[in-house]
Amino acid sequence: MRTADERVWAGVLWASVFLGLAAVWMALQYAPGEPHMGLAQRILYVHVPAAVAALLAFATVFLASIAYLRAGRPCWDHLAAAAAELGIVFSAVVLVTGPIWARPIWGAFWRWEPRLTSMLLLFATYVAYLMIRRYGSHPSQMRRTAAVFGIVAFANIPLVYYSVRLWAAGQQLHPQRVDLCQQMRVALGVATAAFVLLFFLLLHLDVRLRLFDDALAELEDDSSLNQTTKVEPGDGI
Amino acid sequence: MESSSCQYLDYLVAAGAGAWLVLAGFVWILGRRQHRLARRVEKLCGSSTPTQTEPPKPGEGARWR
Amino acid sequence: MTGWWSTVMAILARDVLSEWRTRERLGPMAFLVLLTLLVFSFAFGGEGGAGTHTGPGVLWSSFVLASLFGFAWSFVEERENGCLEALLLAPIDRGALYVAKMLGNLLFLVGVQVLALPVFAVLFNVEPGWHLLLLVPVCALGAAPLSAVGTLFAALASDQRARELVLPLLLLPLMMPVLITAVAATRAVLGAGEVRDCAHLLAMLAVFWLVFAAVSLMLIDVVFDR
Repeated sequence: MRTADERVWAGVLWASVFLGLAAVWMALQYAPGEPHMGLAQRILYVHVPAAVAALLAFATVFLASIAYLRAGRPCWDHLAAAAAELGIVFSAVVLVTGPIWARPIWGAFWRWEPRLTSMLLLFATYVAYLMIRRYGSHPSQMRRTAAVFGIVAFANIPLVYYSVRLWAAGQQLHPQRVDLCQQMRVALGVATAAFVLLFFLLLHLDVRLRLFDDALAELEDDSSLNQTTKVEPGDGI
Repeated sequence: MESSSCQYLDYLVAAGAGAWLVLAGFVWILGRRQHRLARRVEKLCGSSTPTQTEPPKPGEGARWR
Repeated sequence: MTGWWSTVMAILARDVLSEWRTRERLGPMAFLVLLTLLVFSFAFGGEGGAGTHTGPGVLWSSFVLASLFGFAWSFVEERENGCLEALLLAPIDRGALYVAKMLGNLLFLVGVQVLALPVFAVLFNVEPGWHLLLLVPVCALGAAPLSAVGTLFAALASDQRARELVLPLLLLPLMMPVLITAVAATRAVLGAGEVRDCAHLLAMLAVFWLVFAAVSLMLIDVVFDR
Protein backbone atom coordinates (compact mmCIF):
# COMPACT_ATOMS: atom_id res chain seq x y z
CA MET A 1 0.00 0.00 0.00
CA ARG A 2 1.57 3.26 -1.02
CA THR A 3 1.33 6.06 1.49
CA ALA A 4 -0.35 8.50 -0.86
CA ASP A 5 -3.12 6.02 -1.52
CA GLU A 6 -3.59 5.39 2.16
CA ARG A 7 -3.70 9.08 2.87
CA VAL A 8 -6.47 9.55 0.36
CA TRP A 9 -8.59 6.90 1.99
CA ALA A 10 -7.81 8.14 5.45
CA GLY A 11 -9.04 11.49 4.20
CA VAL A 12 -12.20 9.88 2.93
CA LEU A 13 -12.70 8.25 6.30
CA TRP A 14 -12.36 11.52 8.15
CA ALA A 15 -14.57 13.29 5.67
CA SER A 16 -17.28 10.72 6.11
CA VAL A 17 -17.04 10.87 9.88
CA PHE A 18 -17.33 14.62 9.77
CA LEU A 19 -20.14 14.57 7.25
CA GLY A 20 -21.88 11.85 9.20
CA LEU A 21 -21.84 13.90 12.37
CA ALA A 22 -22.92 16.97 10.47
CA ALA A 23 -25.74 14.99 8.90
CA VAL A 24 -26.92 13.76 12.27
CA TRP A 25 -26.92 17.25 13.68
CA MET A 26 -28.70 18.63 10.65
CA ALA A 27 -31.28 15.89 10.66
CA LEU A 28 -32.08 16.33 14.30
CA GLN A 29 -31.56 19.99 14.96
CA TYR A 30 -31.07 22.11 11.89
CA ALA A 31 -33.90 20.76 9.77
CA PRO A 32 -37.27 22.10 10.79
CA GLY A 33 -39.89 19.75 12.09
CA GLU A 34 -42.94 18.67 10.22
CA PRO A 35 -46.31 19.11 11.89
CA HIS A 36 -48.07 15.94 10.79
CA MET A 37 -45.47 13.26 11.11
CA GLY A 38 -43.66 14.52 14.17
CA LEU A 39 -40.22 13.24 14.79
CA ALA A 40 -40.75 10.22 12.56
CA GLN A 41 -40.37 12.49 9.55
CA ARG A 42 -36.69 12.80 10.33
CA ILE A 43 -36.26 9.19 9.33
CA LEU A 44 -36.23 10.71 5.85
CA TYR A 45 -32.61 11.68 6.37
CA VAL A 46 -31.60 8.04 6.66
CA HIS A 47 -34.18 6.42 4.41
CA VAL A 48 -33.63 8.46 1.24
CA PRO A 49 -29.82 8.66 1.33
CA ALA A 50 -29.67 4.91 1.89
CA ALA A 51 -31.84 4.41 -1.20
CA VAL A 52 -29.53 6.66 -3.21
CA ALA A 53 -26.50 4.70 -1.99
CA ALA A 54 -28.18 1.41 -2.84
CA LEU A 55 -28.89 2.52 -6.40
CA LEU A 56 -25.35 3.81 -6.71
CA ALA A 57 -24.13 0.40 -5.57
CA PHE A 58 -26.26 -1.38 -8.17
CA ALA A 59 -24.98 0.95 -10.86
CA THR A 60 -21.46 0.05 -9.76
CA VAL A 61 -22.29 -3.64 -10.13
CA PHE A 62 -23.49 -2.91 -13.65
CA LEU A 63 -20.41 -0.97 -14.69
CA ALA A 64 -18.00 -3.35 -13.01
CA SER A 65 -19.70 -6.32 -14.68
CA ILE A 66 -19.29 -4.71 -18.08
CA ALA A 67 -15.66 -3.96 -17.32
CA TYR A 68 -15.09 -7.53 -16.22
CA LEU A 69 -16.59 -8.97 -19.37
CA ARG A 70 -14.48 -6.69 -21.48
CA ALA A 71 -11.16 -6.89 -19.69
CA GLY A 72 -11.39 -10.16 -17.80
CA ARG A 73 -9.40 -8.81 -14.88
CA PRO A 74 -10.48 -10.21 -11.51
CA CYS A 75 -10.39 -6.81 -9.84
CA TRP A 76 -13.54 -5.81 -11.75
CA ASP A 77 -15.25 -8.94 -10.59
CA HIS A 78 -14.31 -8.16 -7.00
CA LEU A 79 -15.66 -4.67 -7.43
CA ALA A 80 -18.95 -6.05 -8.71
CA ALA A 81 -19.26 -8.52 -5.85
CA ALA A 82 -18.41 -5.91 -3.22
CA ALA A 83 -20.80 -3.39 -4.73
CA ALA A 84 -23.56 -6.00 -4.72
CA GLU A 85 -22.97 -6.65 -1.04
CA LEU A 86 -23.15 -2.96 -0.31
CA GLY A 87 -26.27 -2.61 -2.40
CA ILE A 88 -27.86 -5.29 -0.29
CA VAL A 89 -26.74 -3.59 2.91
CA PHE A 90 -28.09 -0.19 1.92
CA SER A 91 -31.36 -1.56 0.60
CA ALA A 92 -31.68 -3.42 3.89
CA VAL A 93 -31.40 -0.04 5.60
CA VAL A 94 -34.15 1.29 3.34
CA LEU A 95 -36.31 -1.76 4.05
CA VAL A 96 -35.78 -1.43 7.79
CA THR A 97 -36.35 2.31 8.07
CA GLY A 98 -39.24 2.34 5.61
CA PRO A 99 -41.67 0.17 7.56
CA ILE A 100 -40.64 1.78 10.84
CA TRP A 101 -41.52 5.13 9.35
CA ALA A 102 -44.67 3.72 7.79
CA ARG A 103 -46.07 2.23 10.97
CA PRO A 104 -47.14 5.44 12.69
CA ILE A 105 -47.92 7.31 9.48
CA TRP A 106 -49.79 4.79 7.35
CA GLY A 107 -50.89 2.56 10.18
CA ALA A 108 -49.18 -0.59 8.99
CA PHE A 109 -45.63 -1.80 8.54
CA TRP A 110 -46.07 -2.95 4.98
CA ARG A 111 -48.45 -1.65 2.41
CA TRP A 112 -47.08 -2.88 -0.94
CA GLU A 113 -46.30 0.63 -1.88
CA PRO A 114 -44.40 1.00 -5.20
CA ARG A 115 -41.04 2.30 -4.13
CA LEU A 116 -40.60 0.08 -1.12
CA THR A 117 -41.84 -2.92 -3.05
CA SER A 118 -39.40 -2.15 -5.86
CA MET A 119 -36.61 -1.90 -3.34
CA LEU A 120 -37.64 -5.26 -1.91
CA LEU A 121 -37.47 -6.79 -5.38
CA LEU A 122 -34.04 -5.30 -5.96
CA PHE A 123 -32.90 -6.60 -2.60
CA ALA A 124 -34.06 -10.08 -3.61
CA THR A 125 -32.41 -9.74 -7.02
CA TYR A 126 -28.99 -8.91 -5.65
CA VAL A 127 -29.21 -11.54 -2.94
CA ALA A 128 -29.81 -13.95 -5.82
CA TYR A 129 -26.71 -12.46 -7.44
CA LEU A 130 -24.62 -13.31 -4.38
CA MET A 131 -26.12 -16.78 -4.22
CA ILE A 132 -25.23 -17.41 -7.85
CA ARG A 133 -21.66 -16.45 -7.06
CA ARG A 134 -21.69 -18.93 -4.26
CA TYR A 135 -23.35 -21.89 -5.96
CA GLY A 136 -22.00 -21.52 -9.44
CA SER A 137 -19.54 -24.15 -10.42
CA HIS A 138 -16.26 -23.31 -12.00
CA PRO A 139 -15.07 -19.90 -10.77
CA SER A 140 -14.48 -18.34 -14.16
CA GLN A 141 -17.85 -19.54 -15.41
CA MET A 142 -19.52 -18.37 -12.26
CA ARG A 143 -17.95 -14.95 -12.63
CA ARG A 144 -19.13 -14.65 -16.18
CA THR A 145 -22.64 -15.74 -15.25
CA ALA A 146 -22.66 -13.27 -12.39
CA ALA A 147 -21.44 -10.49 -14.67
CA VAL A 148 -24.17 -11.15 -17.21
CA PHE A 149 -26.70 -11.23 -14.41
CA GLY A 150 -25.33 -8.01 -12.96
CA ILE A 151 -25.88 -6.30 -16.30
CA VAL A 152 -29.35 -7.63 -16.96
CA ALA A 153 -30.43 -7.03 -13.36
CA PHE A 154 -29.56 -3.36 -13.64
CA ALA A 155 -31.42 -3.06 -16.93
CA ASN A 156 -34.29 -4.65 -15.07
CA ILE A 157 -34.48 -1.87 -12.47
CA PRO A 158 -36.60 0.56 -14.48
CA LEU A 159 -38.79 -2.34 -15.56
CA VAL A 160 -39.29 -3.28 -11.93
CA TYR A 161 -40.09 0.27 -10.96
CA TYR A 162 -42.67 0.85 -13.68
CA SER A 163 -44.39 -2.48 -13.33
CA VAL A 164 -44.63 -2.27 -9.55
CA ARG A 165 -45.93 1.27 -9.83
CA LEU A 166 -48.56 0.02 -12.20
CA TRP A 167 -49.45 -2.86 -9.95
CA ALA A 168 -49.75 -0.83 -6.81
CA ALA A 169 -51.59 2.01 -8.46
CA GLY A 170 -54.23 1.82 -5.82
CA GLN A 171 -51.71 2.13 -3.07
CA GLN A 172 -50.26 5.54 -3.74
CA LEU A 173 -49.20 6.24 -0.23
CA HIS A 174 -45.61 7.27 -0.80
CA PRO A 175 -45.50 10.99 -1.46
CA GLN A 176 -44.60 11.38 -5.09
CA ARG A 177 -43.38 14.90 -5.00
CA VAL A 178 -42.58 16.29 -1.67
CA ASP A 179 -42.07 19.94 -1.09
CA LEU A 180 -39.08 20.29 1.07
CA CYS A 181 -38.10 23.65 2.31
CA GLN A 182 -34.60 24.89 1.73
CA GLN A 183 -33.22 23.75 5.07
CA MET A 184 -34.62 20.27 4.66
CA ARG A 185 -33.08 20.06 1.22
CA VAL A 186 -29.70 21.04 2.57
CA ALA A 187 -29.94 18.52 5.37
CA LEU A 188 -30.97 15.82 2.94
CA GLY A 189 -28.09 16.72 0.65
CA VAL A 190 -25.57 16.51 3.47
CA ALA A 191 -27.00 13.20 4.63
CA THR A 192 -26.86 11.83 1.09
CA ALA A 193 -23.27 12.95 0.72
CA ALA A 194 -22.42 11.23 3.99
CA PHE A 195 -23.99 7.98 2.84
CA VAL A 196 -22.31 8.13 -0.55
CA LEU A 197 -18.93 8.65 1.08
CA LEU A 198 -19.65 5.77 3.42
CA PHE A 199 -20.49 3.64 0.41
CA PHE A 200 -17.17 4.41 -1.26
CA LEU A 201 -15.29 3.78 1.93
CA LEU A 202 -16.90 0.42 2.61
CA LEU A 203 -16.55 -0.52 -1.05
CA HIS A 204 -12.86 0.21 -0.89
CA LEU A 205 -12.44 -1.88 2.26
CA ASP A 206 -14.41 -4.77 0.81
CA VAL A 207 -12.51 -4.81 -2.48
CA ARG A 208 -9.22 -4.51 -0.69
CA LEU A 209 -10.01 -7.55 1.44
CA ARG A 210 -10.94 -9.54 -1.63
CA LEU A 211 -7.77 -8.61 -3.46
CA PHE A 212 -5.78 -9.51 -0.40
CA ASP A 213 -7.55 -12.83 -0.20
CA ASP A 214 -6.56 -13.51 -3.81
CA ALA A 215 -2.95 -12.62 -3.20
CA LEU A 216 -2.87 -14.71 -0.05
CA ALA A 217 -4.36 -17.69 -1.83
CA GLU A 218 -1.61 -17.49 -4.41
CA LEU A 219 1.01 -17.42 -1.72
CA GLU A 220 -0.60 -20.30 0.04
CA ASP A 221 -0.68 -22.33 -3.13
CA ASP A 222 2.95 -21.59 -3.75
CA SER A 223 4.01 -22.35 -0.27
CA SER A 224 5.11 -25.94 -0.02
CA LEU A 225 4.50 -26.07 3.71
CA ASN A 226 0.87 -25.31 3.45
CA GLN A 227 -0.60 -28.55 2.25
CA THR A 228 -3.84 -27.93 3.97
CA THR A 229 -7.27 -26.79 3.11
CA LYS A 230 -8.45 -27.09 -0.42
CA VAL A 231 -10.58 -24.30 -1.66
CA GLU A 232 -14.11 -25.41 -1.13
CA PRO A 233 -16.47 -24.19 -3.78
CA GLY A 234 -19.04 -22.06 -2.17
CA ASP A 235 -16.81 -21.08 0.69
CA GLY A 236 -17.99 -17.69 1.82
CA ILE A 237 -19.25 -15.27 -0.70
CA MET B 1 -43.11 23.78 21.28
CA GLU B 2 -46.20 21.96 20.14
CA SER B 3 -46.88 18.55 21.55
CA SER B 4 -46.37 16.99 18.12
CA SER B 5 -42.72 17.93 18.08
CA CYS B 6 -41.76 15.03 20.31
CA GLN B 7 -44.23 12.68 18.73
CA TYR B 8 -42.97 9.32 17.53
CA LEU B 9 -39.59 9.75 19.08
CA ASP B 10 -39.51 6.02 19.71
CA TYR B 11 -39.94 5.33 15.99
CA LEU B 12 -37.14 7.69 15.10
CA VAL B 13 -34.87 6.01 17.60
CA ALA B 14 -35.89 2.58 16.34
CA ALA B 15 -35.18 3.56 12.75
CA GLY B 16 -31.83 5.04 13.64
CA ALA B 17 -30.90 2.02 15.68
CA GLY B 18 -32.04 -0.33 12.91
CA ALA B 19 -30.03 1.47 10.26
CA TRP B 20 -27.02 1.59 12.51
CA LEU B 21 -27.30 -2.13 13.30
CA VAL B 22 -27.42 -3.06 9.61
CA LEU B 23 -24.38 -0.94 8.79
CA ALA B 24 -22.48 -2.00 11.86
CA GLY B 25 -23.33 -5.61 11.11
CA PHE B 26 -21.73 -5.30 7.70
CA VAL B 27 -18.67 -3.62 9.13
CA TRP B 28 -18.46 -6.49 11.60
CA ILE B 29 -18.57 -8.99 8.73
CA LEU B 30 -15.72 -7.12 7.05
CA GLY B 31 -13.83 -7.19 10.31
CA ARG B 32 -14.34 -10.92 10.60
CA ARG B 33 -12.98 -11.44 7.11
CA GLN B 34 -9.97 -9.36 7.92
CA HIS B 35 -9.43 -11.41 11.05
CA ARG B 36 -9.52 -14.64 9.11
CA LEU B 37 -7.12 -13.26 6.56
CA ALA B 38 -4.78 -12.22 9.36
CA ARG B 39 -4.89 -15.72 10.78
CA ARG B 40 -4.01 -17.16 7.42
CA VAL B 41 -1.11 -14.77 7.15
CA GLU B 42 0.07 -15.90 10.55
CA LYS B 43 -0.12 -19.49 9.50
CA LEU B 44 1.71 -18.78 6.32
CA CYS B 45 4.46 -16.74 7.87
CA GLY B 46 4.52 -18.31 11.30
CA SER B 47 4.73 -21.93 10.19
CA SER B 48 8.37 -21.85 9.27
CA THR B 49 8.97 -25.02 11.27
CA PRO B 50 8.31 -28.13 9.19
CA THR B 51 7.24 -30.04 12.28
CA GLN B 52 3.92 -28.35 12.48
CA THR B 53 1.65 -31.29 12.02
CA GLU B 54 -1.42 -30.05 13.79
CA PRO B 55 -4.28 -30.17 11.31
CA PRO B 56 -6.25 -27.00 10.84
CA LYS B 57 -9.43 -26.75 12.81
CA PRO B 58 -12.56 -26.98 10.72
CA GLY B 59 -13.35 -23.66 9.16
CA GLU B 60 -10.05 -22.16 10.03
CA GLY B 61 -7.91 -21.28 7.09
CA ALA B 62 -10.82 -21.90 4.77
CA ARG B 63 -11.25 -19.18 2.23
CA TRP B 64 -14.19 -17.08 3.07
CA ARG B 65 -14.82 -16.44 -0.59
CA MET C 1 -29.48 -10.06 -43.80
CA THR C 2 -31.29 -12.84 -45.64
CA GLY C 3 -28.48 -15.18 -44.65
CA TRP C 4 -28.97 -14.29 -41.02
CA TRP C 5 -32.70 -14.90 -41.10
CA SER C 6 -32.35 -18.15 -42.99
CA THR C 7 -29.97 -19.33 -40.27
CA VAL C 8 -32.50 -18.43 -37.63
CA MET C 9 -35.28 -20.16 -39.48
CA ALA C 10 -33.15 -23.23 -40.11
CA ILE C 11 -32.30 -23.70 -36.45
CA LEU C 12 -35.83 -22.87 -35.39
CA ALA C 13 -37.32 -25.30 -37.89
CA ARG C 14 -35.03 -28.03 -36.66
CA ASP C 15 -35.98 -27.40 -33.04
CA VAL C 16 -39.67 -27.31 -33.80
CA LEU C 17 -39.49 -30.46 -35.89
CA SER C 18 -37.56 -32.41 -33.32
CA GLU C 19 -39.95 -31.28 -30.62
CA TRP C 20 -42.93 -32.17 -32.77
CA ARG C 21 -41.58 -35.66 -33.35
CA THR C 22 -40.77 -36.45 -29.78
CA ARG C 23 -43.05 -34.08 -27.90
CA GLU C 24 -40.87 -34.66 -24.90
CA ARG C 25 -40.94 -31.06 -23.75
CA LEU C 26 -44.39 -29.90 -24.60
CA GLY C 27 -46.29 -32.76 -23.04
CA PRO C 28 -44.74 -32.75 -19.58
CA MET C 29 -44.64 -28.96 -19.43
CA ALA C 30 -48.27 -28.57 -20.37
CA PHE C 31 -49.14 -31.13 -17.77
CA LEU C 32 -47.02 -29.32 -15.22
CA VAL C 33 -48.97 -26.15 -15.89
CA LEU C 34 -52.23 -28.01 -15.45
CA LEU C 35 -51.07 -29.54 -12.21
CA THR C 36 -50.04 -26.14 -10.94
CA LEU C 37 -53.41 -24.72 -11.88
CA LEU C 38 -55.04 -27.50 -9.90
CA VAL C 39 -52.85 -26.87 -6.90
CA PHE C 40 -53.67 -23.20 -6.93
CA SER C 41 -57.35 -23.90 -7.44
CA PHE C 42 -57.35 -25.92 -4.26
CA ALA C 43 -55.21 -23.39 -2.48
CA PHE C 44 -57.56 -20.54 -3.25
CA GLY C 45 -60.83 -22.31 -2.72
CA GLY C 46 -61.79 -22.21 -6.38
CA GLU C 47 -64.99 -20.32 -5.85
CA GLY C 48 -66.58 -18.61 -8.79
CA GLY C 49 -65.37 -15.13 -9.47
CA ALA C 50 -61.84 -16.32 -8.96
CA GLY C 51 -61.71 -15.93 -12.70
CA THR C 52 -60.78 -12.32 -12.32
CA HIS C 53 -59.47 -12.13 -8.82
CA THR C 54 -56.81 -14.74 -8.24
CA GLY C 55 -57.09 -16.41 -11.61
CA PRO C 56 -54.67 -14.30 -13.65
CA GLY C 57 -52.02 -14.57 -10.96
CA VAL C 58 -52.44 -18.32 -10.80
CA LEU C 59 -52.25 -18.61 -14.56
CA TRP C 60 -49.07 -16.65 -14.96
CA SER C 61 -47.40 -18.22 -11.96
CA SER C 62 -47.93 -21.58 -13.60
CA PHE C 63 -46.52 -20.31 -16.88
CA VAL C 64 -43.45 -18.87 -15.20
CA LEU C 65 -42.76 -22.05 -13.26
CA ALA C 66 -43.21 -24.26 -16.29
CA SER C 67 -41.00 -22.03 -18.38
CA LEU C 68 -38.16 -22.42 -15.89
CA PHE C 69 -38.01 -26.09 -16.72
CA GLY C 70 -38.72 -25.66 -20.38
CA PHE C 71 -35.98 -23.12 -20.97
CA ALA C 72 -33.36 -25.16 -19.18
CA TRP C 73 -34.24 -28.07 -21.36
CA SER C 74 -33.67 -26.13 -24.54
CA PHE C 75 -29.93 -26.17 -24.00
CA VAL C 76 -29.31 -29.26 -21.94
CA GLU C 77 -30.22 -31.59 -24.78
CA GLU C 78 -28.00 -29.72 -27.18
CA ARG C 79 -25.13 -29.71 -24.85
CA GLU C 80 -25.40 -33.34 -23.98
CA ASN C 81 -25.30 -34.63 -27.51
CA GLY C 82 -22.61 -32.24 -28.60
CA CYS C 83 -24.86 -30.38 -30.93
CA LEU C 84 -24.18 -27.03 -29.33
CA GLU C 85 -20.46 -27.40 -29.89
CA ALA C 86 -21.12 -28.09 -33.54
CA LEU C 87 -23.35 -25.07 -33.85
CA LEU C 88 -20.79 -22.86 -32.21
CA LEU C 89 -18.00 -24.12 -34.41
CA ALA C 90 -19.99 -23.44 -37.53
CA PRO C 91 -19.68 -19.89 -38.87
CA ILE C 92 -23.06 -18.93 -37.53
CA ASP C 93 -23.74 -15.58 -36.01
CA ARG C 94 -24.21 -16.07 -32.28
CA GLY C 95 -27.07 -13.63 -32.37
CA ALA C 96 -28.86 -15.78 -34.93
CA LEU C 97 -28.48 -18.78 -32.66
CA TYR C 98 -29.88 -16.82 -29.76
CA VAL C 99 -32.84 -15.49 -31.75
CA ALA C 100 -33.61 -18.95 -33.06
CA LYS C 101 -33.54 -20.41 -29.56
CA MET C 102 -35.58 -17.55 -28.20
CA LEU C 103 -38.25 -17.95 -30.86
CA GLY C 104 -38.25 -21.67 -30.24
CA ASN C 105 -38.77 -21.13 -26.53
CA LEU C 106 -41.46 -18.57 -27.28
CA LEU C 107 -43.33 -20.97 -29.55
CA PHE C 108 -42.99 -23.68 -26.97
CA LEU C 109 -44.35 -21.47 -24.20
CA VAL C 110 -47.22 -20.25 -26.35
CA GLY C 111 -48.00 -23.88 -27.17
CA VAL C 112 -48.20 -24.61 -23.46
CA GLN C 113 -50.42 -21.59 -22.96
CA VAL C 114 -52.77 -22.71 -25.73
CA LEU C 115 -53.18 -26.04 -23.99
CA ALA C 116 -53.60 -24.55 -20.57
CA LEU C 117 -56.01 -21.71 -21.26
CA PRO C 118 -59.15 -23.79 -21.87
CA VAL C 119 -58.55 -25.72 -18.68
CA PHE C 120 -58.00 -22.48 -16.84
CA ALA C 121 -61.17 -21.01 -18.29
CA VAL C 122 -63.18 -23.98 -17.06
CA LEU C 123 -61.59 -24.23 -13.62
CA PHE C 124 -61.85 -20.55 -12.95
CA ASN C 125 -65.27 -19.97 -14.46
CA VAL C 126 -64.28 -17.52 -17.09
CA GLU C 127 -67.21 -16.12 -19.02
CA PRO C 128 -66.94 -16.81 -22.71
CA GLY C 129 -66.98 -13.92 -25.07
CA TRP C 130 -65.17 -12.23 -27.92
CA HIS C 131 -63.09 -10.16 -25.54
CA LEU C 132 -61.21 -13.35 -24.72
CA LEU C 133 -59.47 -13.04 -28.07
CA LEU C 134 -57.42 -10.31 -26.43
CA LEU C 135 -55.83 -13.02 -24.38
CA VAL C 136 -53.87 -14.10 -27.42
CA PRO C 137 -51.69 -11.00 -27.64
CA VAL C 138 -51.50 -10.84 -23.86
CA CYS C 139 -50.19 -14.37 -23.59
CA ALA C 140 -47.85 -14.03 -26.54
CA LEU C 141 -46.44 -10.69 -25.42
CA GLY C 142 -46.12 -11.99 -21.91
CA ALA C 143 -44.28 -15.08 -23.06
CA ALA C 144 -41.93 -13.07 -25.29
CA PRO C 145 -39.84 -11.27 -22.63
CA LEU C 146 -39.84 -14.45 -20.56
CA SER C 147 -38.33 -16.29 -23.51
CA ALA C 148 -35.86 -13.53 -24.23
CA VAL C 149 -34.35 -13.49 -20.78
CA GLY C 150 -34.91 -17.19 -20.19
CA THR C 151 -32.98 -18.23 -23.29
CA LEU C 152 -30.02 -16.08 -22.33
CA PHE C 153 -29.73 -17.51 -18.88
CA ALA C 154 -30.53 -21.04 -19.94
CA ALA C 155 -27.52 -20.85 -22.22
CA LEU C 156 -25.45 -19.49 -19.36
CA ALA C 157 -26.61 -21.94 -16.77
CA SER C 158 -26.62 -25.01 -18.97
CA ASP C 159 -23.12 -26.05 -18.05
CA GLN C 160 -23.21 -25.06 -14.43
CA ARG C 161 -22.88 -27.67 -11.80
CA ALA C 162 -26.02 -26.77 -9.89
CA ARG C 163 -28.00 -25.69 -12.89
CA GLU C 164 -31.39 -26.65 -11.55
CA LEU C 165 -30.81 -24.34 -8.66
CA VAL C 166 -29.03 -21.62 -10.53
CA LEU C 167 -31.54 -21.05 -13.29
CA PRO C 168 -34.53 -20.23 -11.04
CA LEU C 169 -32.30 -17.97 -8.95
CA LEU C 170 -31.26 -16.14 -12.08
CA LEU C 171 -34.61 -15.93 -13.76
CA LEU C 172 -37.25 -15.36 -11.11
CA PRO C 173 -36.07 -11.93 -9.96
CA LEU C 174 -35.81 -10.76 -13.54
CA MET C 175 -39.17 -12.15 -14.52
CA MET C 176 -41.13 -10.34 -11.85
CA PRO C 177 -41.89 -7.18 -13.82
CA VAL C 178 -43.15 -9.32 -16.69
CA LEU C 179 -45.24 -11.37 -14.33
CA ILE C 180 -46.75 -8.29 -12.73
CA THR C 181 -47.60 -6.67 -16.04
CA ALA C 182 -48.92 -9.82 -17.69
CA VAL C 183 -51.17 -10.51 -14.72
CA ALA C 184 -52.48 -6.97 -14.87
CA ALA C 185 -53.14 -7.30 -18.58
CA THR C 186 -54.92 -10.63 -18.13
CA ARG C 187 -56.98 -9.14 -15.37
CA ALA C 188 -57.88 -6.24 -17.62
CA VAL C 189 -59.09 -8.63 -20.29
CA LEU C 190 -60.97 -10.98 -17.99
CA GLY C 191 -62.42 -8.35 -15.75
CA ALA C 192 -63.39 -4.93 -16.92
CA GLY C 193 -62.02 -5.59 -20.40
CA GLU C 194 -60.74 -2.05 -20.66
CA VAL C 195 -59.03 -2.08 -24.01
CA ARG C 196 -57.30 1.17 -23.27
CA ASP C 197 -55.64 -0.24 -20.18
CA CYS C 198 -54.76 -3.36 -22.03
CA ALA C 199 -53.08 -1.48 -24.85
CA HIS C 200 -50.87 0.36 -22.38
CA LEU C 201 -49.94 -2.89 -20.66
CA LEU C 202 -49.27 -4.69 -23.92
CA ALA C 203 -46.99 -1.83 -24.91
CA MET C 204 -45.11 -2.26 -21.65
CA LEU C 205 -44.70 -5.97 -22.30
CA ALA C 206 -43.42 -5.22 -25.79
CA VAL C 207 -40.90 -2.79 -24.31
CA PHE C 208 -39.78 -5.43 -21.80
CA TRP C 209 -39.27 -7.84 -24.66
CA LEU C 210 -37.23 -5.32 -26.62
CA VAL C 211 -35.09 -4.46 -23.61
CA PHE C 212 -34.33 -8.06 -22.72
CA ALA C 213 -33.74 -9.10 -26.32
CA ALA C 214 -31.46 -6.14 -26.97
CA VAL C 215 -29.42 -6.69 -23.81
CA SER C 216 -29.21 -10.41 -24.53
CA LEU C 217 -28.00 -9.83 -28.07
CA MET C 218 -25.32 -7.51 -26.76
CA LEU C 219 -24.16 -10.10 -24.26
CA ILE C 220 -24.61 -13.18 -26.40
CA ASP C 221 -21.02 -13.44 -27.54
CA VAL C 222 -19.93 -13.63 -23.95
CA VAL C 223 -22.47 -16.28 -23.16
CA PHE C 224 -21.61 -18.55 -26.05
CA ASP C 225 -17.92 -18.07 -25.76
CA ARG C 226 -16.58 -21.42 -24.67
